[in-house]
Amino acid sequence: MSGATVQSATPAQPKSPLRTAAPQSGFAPWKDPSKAPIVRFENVVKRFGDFVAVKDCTLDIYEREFFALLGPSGCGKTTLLRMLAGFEKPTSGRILVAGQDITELAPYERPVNMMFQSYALFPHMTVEQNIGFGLRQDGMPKDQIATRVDEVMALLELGRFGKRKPHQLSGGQQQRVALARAIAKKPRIVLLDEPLGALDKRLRQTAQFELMGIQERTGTTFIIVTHDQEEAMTVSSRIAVMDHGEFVQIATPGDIYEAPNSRYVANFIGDVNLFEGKVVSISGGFAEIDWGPGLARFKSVAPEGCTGDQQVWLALRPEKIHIDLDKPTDTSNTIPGKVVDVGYLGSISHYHVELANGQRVKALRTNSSRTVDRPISWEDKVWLQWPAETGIVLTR
Amino acid sequence: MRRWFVILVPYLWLLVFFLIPFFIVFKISLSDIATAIPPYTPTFSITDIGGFFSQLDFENYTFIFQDSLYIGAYFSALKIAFFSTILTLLIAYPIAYGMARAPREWQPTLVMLVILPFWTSFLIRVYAWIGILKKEGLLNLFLMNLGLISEPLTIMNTNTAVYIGIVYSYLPFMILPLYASLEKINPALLEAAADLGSPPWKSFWQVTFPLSIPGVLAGCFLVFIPATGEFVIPDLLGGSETLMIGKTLWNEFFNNRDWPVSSAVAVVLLLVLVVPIVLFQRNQEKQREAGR
Amino acid sequence: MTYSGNKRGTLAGSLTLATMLACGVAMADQKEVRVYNWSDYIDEEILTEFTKETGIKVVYDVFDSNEILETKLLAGGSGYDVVVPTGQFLARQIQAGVFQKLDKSKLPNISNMWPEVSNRVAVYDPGNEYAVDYMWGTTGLGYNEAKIKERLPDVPTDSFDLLFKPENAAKLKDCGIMVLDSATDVLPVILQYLGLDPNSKAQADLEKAAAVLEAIRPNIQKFHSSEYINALANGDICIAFGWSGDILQAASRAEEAKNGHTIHYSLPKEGTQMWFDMLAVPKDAPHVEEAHAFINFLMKPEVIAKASNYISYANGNLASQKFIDESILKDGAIYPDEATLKKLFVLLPYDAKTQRSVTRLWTKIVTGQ
Repeated sequence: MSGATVQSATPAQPKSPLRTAAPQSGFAPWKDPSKAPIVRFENVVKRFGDFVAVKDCTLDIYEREFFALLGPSGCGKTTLLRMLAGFEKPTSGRILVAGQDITELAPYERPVNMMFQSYALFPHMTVEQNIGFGLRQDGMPKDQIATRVDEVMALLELGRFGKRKPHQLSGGQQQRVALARAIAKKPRIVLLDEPLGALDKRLRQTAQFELMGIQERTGTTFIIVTHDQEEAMTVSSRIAVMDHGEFVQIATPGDIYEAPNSRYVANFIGDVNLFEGKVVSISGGFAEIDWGPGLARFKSVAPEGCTGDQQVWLALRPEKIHIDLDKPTDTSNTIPGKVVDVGYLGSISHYHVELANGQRVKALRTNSSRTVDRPISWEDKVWLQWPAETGIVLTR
Repeated sequence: MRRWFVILVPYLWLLVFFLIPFFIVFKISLSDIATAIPPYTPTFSITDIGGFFSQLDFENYTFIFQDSLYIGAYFSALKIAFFSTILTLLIAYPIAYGMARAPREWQPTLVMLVILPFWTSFLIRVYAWIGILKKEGLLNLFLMNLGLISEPLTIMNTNTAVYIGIVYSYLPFMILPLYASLEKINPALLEAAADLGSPPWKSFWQVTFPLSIPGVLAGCFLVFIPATGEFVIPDLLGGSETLMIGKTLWNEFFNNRDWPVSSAVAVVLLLVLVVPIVLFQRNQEKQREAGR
Repeated sequence: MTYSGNKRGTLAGSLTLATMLACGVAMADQKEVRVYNWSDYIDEEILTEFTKETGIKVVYDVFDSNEILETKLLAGGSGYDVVVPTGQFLARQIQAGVFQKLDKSKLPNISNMWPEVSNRVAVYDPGNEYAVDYMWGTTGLGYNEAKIKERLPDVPTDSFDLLFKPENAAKLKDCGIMVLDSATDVLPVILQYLGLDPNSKAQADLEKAAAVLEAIRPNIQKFHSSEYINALANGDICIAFGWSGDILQAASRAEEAKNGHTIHYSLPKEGTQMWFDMLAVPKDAPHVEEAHAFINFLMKPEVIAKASNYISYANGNLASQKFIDESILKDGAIYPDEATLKKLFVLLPYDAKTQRSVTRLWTKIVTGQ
């Protein structure tokens, strides 16, 4: 997963031991043609009156994946999840779970359990009763229910709260009860609808790692809906970025970050600098981009199927840009500018640099040594430079 | 200052419009009947407070507990109020449920429709039931024209008519609190129940109904308490054998002109109702705590 | 039920509890008189004429039960100057000290009154000191002509046998029987029917009267003191024991509605109760002078005749009879002939103890408890 999270615009997060254990490294069932998906959306369309919430979506999700549906509100991600849970019926298309068509099944007949955005804990039941609710529906004997409830409560460290009612719990505790209830029946698939949206930032980060831990330990397939790109990057094995009811890109967090397929994805995930220009020539797999009269041309890896004289955008992550007071020796992809803003964040600093044509570029520099010769400051004339391999040429 | 004022106002209200009137009624209940203005003795006099108190006694209370008439009337009133409350609940629940489930934008209109009958005088609405229920009334005409019955049903002037009248008149008082509690239920709870394997009818009993219990209780009390003292409906729609405490009170006050005994009847009625009122109060408090 | 004394053909059960605040604070300099009378009980032109003649403004409120009036009077400070209680109520209210003696010097028209009536009301108001009669009437049977004829073709309608004989009542059950819900109006009439003293307070006598009612109780649809007006007029019931005025009102309503029901009032030959509505002035009346002027005005023969002509009730003013419409004066149900008049009795008020035991007895009859 290529350290995508630490490269986003915010300061690096402390790495969790769970994270480093990373049992999913090398886990890529979507690349294995012999593997059958556990969930399959097949040409699924959902209309609400005139409004098309989901446009012809086809998607495979594999067992033990932590799959994220990411996008702004109204992009159709929640509708997709609710169709899988059975709360909405597709206008057309099919949904399959483990090869079985569940499109027509009622929610209470589906082998999926959901953790709701509002948690939807039953306010009149204790924590134990909430967690045991699904088991009771299956007519499980009382002692077995108790055992399983204890097990789940231990897993989520809820042991002390069994007899409490939801309103007597903190937000974080409620969130854990909701998760406990969703996994109590050992479903093959757990759906999470903005599960951490109600928590404050610090708690959310801890909870993300907890979620991953639970997912790994239970070996369940998790499908999460979120609008928070960091969250998606942190927890998921793959992300589907959605916009206006369509998938824009489905890929691992690393690929999404390093190789976005569009300005939309590049912008949505992390910080990015975009230069609009035209491809003037292609040679040796590198494209030469003219981005304005009188400006030095950029050189970058040419995207597949790129032809000359095509309008393109060069996407450049801030941390990929070297910023220096002296002109670098390698003169390719080198442009001068003036620092207009500096943000010191301890481990890193970020700079806003104004170019000759007035465009502003964001660059990052890690503060690796305590005393740099001279810190870059406001009004400094600086040079920006990046290797040709780091920029991404986007055609849409 | 302002905080004290806010706290004081409801207590002042209770004091002036409930507690003081109650004590006046209670005081009269300890007096004796007299042919005078006012028709009881003693009347309060500041100059002879000792003499005033020495003349008060509980004679009227012993009297009403000696005659089975009064106890019978209390029981009959409680019985009618109890069954009317159950009936009202059974009819109101599906209506309130339907309202809470209706599209958001319809709901204000539906609430209006429930309140709408209040725009017409209560008495006129009860009279309208006479026109419906009587022998040659609309209901009998309708059923006979349909051929469902050959002889007109005798509903008017029976306890059945009293139940119909009470259920009809108090229905909004049951529907509104039920609706309020049902409408508050997060729809996601039912989705959660379904998601965890509960079919809709089971979800109703496991989630919807338990969560609507505050509304059920509020509605039941709002119907039961006034129905117990109901006077007009049994008078107009009921038969003569429908003896309720309201009628007994009326007789004592107007026929016998016995203000002291009728006050005693009223005080006992209040005590009978205080039990459910206190229960109601405690339930409200529990609700408030739970809601926090 | 005791909206009893609802004789004046009020809209049944209109429960006019209104006009509670006839405030006792009267403005001394403005000449007015506050009158509290039964509803639908006067020709309103009379009020206009009074104001035209005397310059006194009339504030006119109405009630529809003696009990409501009595409650206001006993609570004190009613603010009314002239009120109209029925005889037995008047008697008790005089005892309670509600009224002031009339100043006869201000009532020159009192010479027009009918001794027949004045003598009878003296049992309520000895010496006619506190009140003068306004209207009077009787208690009897109202019936639906066609329905009675159909069921009881051979039974005469001029006798209480029509209702009080169980075999007759049983035949009328299906078409509906209602009886006044008022012990004091019904039991004395039955005592008279049984040949006993209608004013008897003896428990044994009262039980005998109760037995008559209990025998026909299963056939009685309802005891109520006002519902029978509409019920008779609409044909929902075929016989009612009620007040003459109410039944005559039901008759005229049925006639106006042209619904095919003909209602008659029968003044049974056994004799019955004669009741009187009396004009009296509360002790705390704010406008005593004007109250006397108003009562005196009402005792003018042509004025009270106008009222009788308008509401079809007999009044206690002998001199007015030459101004009364022939149709009313000759109607035996309104102005009974000499012989019938002799059989009418006057009810004496019960003392509190008898009243309670009569009410209890009545509750037992009515509810079966």
